[in-house]
This record gives sequence, C-alpha cells and structure tokens, in this order.
Amino acid sequence: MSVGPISSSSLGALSSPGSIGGIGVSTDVGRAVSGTGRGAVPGIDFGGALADVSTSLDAADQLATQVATGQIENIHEYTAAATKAQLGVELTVAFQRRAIEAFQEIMRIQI
Amino acid sequence: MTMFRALDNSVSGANLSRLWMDAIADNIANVNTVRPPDEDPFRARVVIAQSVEGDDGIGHGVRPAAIGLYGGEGPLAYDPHHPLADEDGMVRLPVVDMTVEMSNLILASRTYEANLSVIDRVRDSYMAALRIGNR
Repeated sequence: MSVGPISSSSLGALSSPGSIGGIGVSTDVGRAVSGTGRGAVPGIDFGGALADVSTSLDAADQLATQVATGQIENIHEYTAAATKAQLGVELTVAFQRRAIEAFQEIMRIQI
Repeated sequence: MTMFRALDNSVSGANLSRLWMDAIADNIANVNTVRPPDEDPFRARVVIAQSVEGDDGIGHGVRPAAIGLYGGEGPLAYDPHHPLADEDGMVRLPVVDMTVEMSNLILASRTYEANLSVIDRVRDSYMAALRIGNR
C-alpha cells in the first residue's frame, strides 16, 4: 500500500492564520506553522518539509518493491532509505505535537 | 535532506564493500582457471576506490572509480595432458593469491559491518534528538 505524495497546495489552507480551530485568537502559532518569519519558529517551510518526507517515503517504497522482486543490488540501501523515511516521519510528528502543545499553553493563559 | 549526510556516506561505504566482496568472490571462484600460455592469464580484480570531496571539507563518502587488474606474469605449470596445454605441455595459472584474497575478504566484510553500524548509531542519535522535551 503506498501513500500518495502530499502537494504543497493542499497545505495552503492550514497555513492561513486563524484557521487552527477556527478561533480568532492571536495566531502566532498559525504564523509559526506557516513560517512567515515572525512566529515562534521562523523560516521553516513546513509544506516543503512535508514534501521532502513524502519523497523519502516514496523512495523507500520503491526500494522495498525492488527487494521483493530481487532486483536490488545493495540491500543496505533499502534499510537506509527506510531509516530516512522513519526519521522524517518522526520529525514531522514531533513538530506537530510541539506546535499543538504550544497552542494549548497559550490557550491556558487566564485573562 | 542534508541531515542524512552521515547515512549517505555510510551507504556509499557499504556499496563499495559490497562491490569489493563481489570482486573477491570472483577472484576466489576463478582460482583454478587455467589458460593457454600465449593468452593473458586470469587476473585478480581490484576495486579502486576514490573519495568524493565535499564543499565544506567533509566528503560525501566513497565511490568505485575503476576495476583494476593485478599485474604480473601468471606462473606456468607443466600439465601436458591438459586440453589447453601448448606443445611444451605448459599451461598458464591465474594471477590470484589465495592468502591475499582471504584476508581481503575479512577486511571487506568487516568494513561492510562497520558501515552498517554507523547507520545504526546515527539513527539512534537522531531519534534521541527528537525525544528532547518529552514528558
């Protein structure tokens, strides 16, 4: 089962400010996610990073097919590609978790 | 992604070791390949490695630049009834030194395993980095 690549355009809705939860709160977290440079994590191109992770997952998938059909020359290339894909996915999940934690911290601020 | 440079370097090292083991296996398989004396003997294959330089002083691993052949004259052996023997009854033995090949085999397989352990360690290190701040 292969996962299709995630295009940057599908992330445009995510990156617009105020779209997180639909609440009109000060959207520093939203800006952080979109990386427009003034948020908590400036300069991160989240869409591009997700595209990179998706590419590495595709590459690992193709090598897995080659291993299954016996065409592969260097078997360690498959395990290294699987490791890269795993690291990329873990990084993405960790990033998402941190962003949500930061947002929840902000929401807990008592007025 | 540039954070995977250590992984890419180790994969290139493992690729070279795999190619080296292929060459050694070829040499050992052909250790009894005799030829007529007027022909070039079977020569042991040697993988010539070349480092891949990078911009910042740290390279990008290794690549097999060429496959060379061992030089020297293959020894002649007296075997008059061999179908490939010439009128003097001599055949040309291959240029393969078994002791060299066996010790190279140990080197190649240990190098392969060393590169794989680098991949393992690097992965563990990066996973530890992702666990910073976990509660």
